[in-house]
Amino acid sequence: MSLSTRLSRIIRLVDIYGSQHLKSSRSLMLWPILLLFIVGSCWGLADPEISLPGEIQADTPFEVLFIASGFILLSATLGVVLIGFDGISRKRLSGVLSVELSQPIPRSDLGISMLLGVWGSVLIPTTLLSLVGMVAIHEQMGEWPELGDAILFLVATGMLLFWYASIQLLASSWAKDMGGAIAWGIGTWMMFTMVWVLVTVLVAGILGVEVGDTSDSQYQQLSVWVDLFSPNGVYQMLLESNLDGGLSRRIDSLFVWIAALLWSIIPTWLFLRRFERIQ
Amino acid sequence: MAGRRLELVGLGYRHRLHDPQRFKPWNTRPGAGIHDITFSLPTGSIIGLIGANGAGKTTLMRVICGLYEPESGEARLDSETIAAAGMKPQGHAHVGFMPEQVSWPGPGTPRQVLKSLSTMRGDESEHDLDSLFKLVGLSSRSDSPLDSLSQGMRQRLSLAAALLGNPDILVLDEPLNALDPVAQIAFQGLIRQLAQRGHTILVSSHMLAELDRFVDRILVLHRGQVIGEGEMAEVQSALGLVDSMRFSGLGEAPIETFISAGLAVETSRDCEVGHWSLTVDLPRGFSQLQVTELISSLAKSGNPPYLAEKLNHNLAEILAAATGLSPSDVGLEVDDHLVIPLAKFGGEEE
Repeated sequence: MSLSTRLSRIIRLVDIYGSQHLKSSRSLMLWPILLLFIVGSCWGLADPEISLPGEIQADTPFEVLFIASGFILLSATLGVVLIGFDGISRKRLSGVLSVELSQPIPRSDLGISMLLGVWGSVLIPTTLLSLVGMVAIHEQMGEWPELGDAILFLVATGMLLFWYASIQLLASSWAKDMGGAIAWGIGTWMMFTMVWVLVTVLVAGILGVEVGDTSDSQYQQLSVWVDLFSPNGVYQMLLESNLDGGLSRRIDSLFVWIAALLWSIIPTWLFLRRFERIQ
Repeated sequence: MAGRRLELVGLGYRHRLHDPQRFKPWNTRPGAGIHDITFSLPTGSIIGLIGANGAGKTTLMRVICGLYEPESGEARLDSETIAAAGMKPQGHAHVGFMPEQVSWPGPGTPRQVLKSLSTMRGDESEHDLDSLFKLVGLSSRSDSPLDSLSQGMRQRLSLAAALLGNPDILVLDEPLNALDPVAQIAFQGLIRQLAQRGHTILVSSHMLAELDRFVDRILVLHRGQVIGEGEMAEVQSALGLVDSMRFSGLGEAPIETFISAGLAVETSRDCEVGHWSLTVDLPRGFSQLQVTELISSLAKSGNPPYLAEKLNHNLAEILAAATGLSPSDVGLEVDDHLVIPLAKFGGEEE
C-alpha cells in the first residue's frame, strides 16, 4: 500500500475519532472549564489594575500568556486526561478494540489515528480559546501579543497536549479495567502537575543539595534539569526562553528543545510499540 | 462467490500470565493457549468449534483473525500466509471477525460504526452499508443511537461489522450468546444463508444442541488441542457414542416390546403417575425405518408413545468420551498447567 493511501486513510480516521471525541459529553464538559481557565486567566491577568501575589507583574501580552500557561497546565492537560484516559481500555473492555484490530490496517496506522484523534479533540478548543484569550488581552492592554510570541505559545501548547495524549493512551493501553484506567490517567496527570516538586526535592535530597531555600542557585539549577523530565517543566521552559532576558534559570534553550523533541518521540514510540502487541 | 480455503498448520499460542518475582516484578510465564492445531476449512461450509470453557476456542479464533501472533505454525489462506510466528499481527481483508458480545458503547450510530470500520478497510461505499444492514436485519435501526440497541441488535451489528468487505472466511465467536430463543433461530438462519452465498464460517459455541442445528462439521477442542473433527455423527461415532432416544406414553411401560426389538432400556424415574418414560440406546446402524417399525409395534401392543425424540449428546459427554474423564471432571477442570501436554514443553511448567 502506498504512503499517500496510508496517509489519507489516517487523516480520515483522525477526523472520525476526533469528531467522536469532540461530540462526546466529556468534551462538552471541557469547553466551560477551558473557557474559565484560559480566557478568564488572560482577561484577569491582563487587567492593569490587578495585583498578583508574589510581586508577579505581567507587563507585556506575552508575559500574560506565560502566566496563563500555568492555567493551561491545570485545565487543558486535564482535558486530555478526560478524553484519553480510557481511549484504549474502554475499547478493549467493550470488545470494540478486537473488531478494529481485526481490520486489514497496520496497527501503527490505527494507533497514530487514535493518538491524533485524542490530541486534536483537545487541541481545537484549547487553540480557539487561546486565540479568544489573546483578544481578551488586547481588550485589556490595548496591544496584541507579537506574532512570533503567539505562534510559540500555540505551538508549545500543542506540543504539551500531544505529549499528554501519548502518555494517556500509553497508560490506557496498560489498564486492564476502568478502575485501572482512572488510576493511570489521573495518576500520571497528578504526577507531573501536582507532585513534581516533590520529585525535585527528593532528587535534591539524594544529591545532597540544600532543599530548605528554593531560591538557592544550586537548587534552581537542579530543578531546571529535573524539570526536563516533566512535560510541564519543558512546556514552561519553552515559553520562558522567549521572555525578555531569556531563560532566567540558566539552561541553554537547545536542551529545552531537545527535551521537547524527545517528549514528542519517546512516549509516542512507546505507545505505538505497545499498540503493535496489544491483545 | 469464489471461496478461499483456510488452512492451519501446527498453530500454537500461549497466553502470558503475570508471575511477579522479587527482583523481576514484570515476570510472566506461559499459561493456557492452543497447541499444534492443524486443520483446513472446506469452502462454503459451517464449522462448529466446540469445547468447554478455557478449551482455547477464542484463542484459536483470535490467532486466525490476526489479533494474536502465533508462537508456532501458520495460518494460510490459499497459498498466502496470514498469520505465522514472527509475523506482526494484523487483520486480513478476507477474514471477518465477530468477537463475543461486543457492547458497542458510545454516542454514535450503527452506520457511523460501520463507516469508521470501512475507512479502516479502505472502502467507504454507502450502498454496501445499506445492503449489509438489510442482510442482518438492522435497516430500521441503522441510524439509531448505539445506546438504544438491544443485545440482539448489537450482535447483529457485530455480524455486519464482520461482513464488511464481503470476506471469504467468517469467524464468529459465540454469536448465539445473550440471544433469546427466537433471535437464536433467526441468527442460525442468517448464518446458513451466508454459507449458501459461499462464505466459509467458523462458529464457536458451547451450546452443542443449538450448534448441531446448523453446522456441517464440528471441531472439538480440549485443553488447547483438537481432539475430534468431522460431521457431528462421525465424531460421535468415532468416539464410540451411541445414539439414544426417549419414548414416553400412558399406562404401563412396554419394556418387553423394546427388549424383543433387541434394545437396551433405561427407565426414567422422574415420570408422572400413570405415565411411562424410557431411554433407549440405539445400536449402530439402527435405521429410521426400524424406529418407525418400533413405534408401530408399541401401538399394536396397546402402548403407543405420545413422545419419541432423539437425544443429542451434550458437550460434556463428547469430551468425556474423547478424554476418558468423567463428565463432571471435564466441565470443571480449568487448571492452566494442564492445558498443554507437559512433555512438549520440557521443564517450563515447573
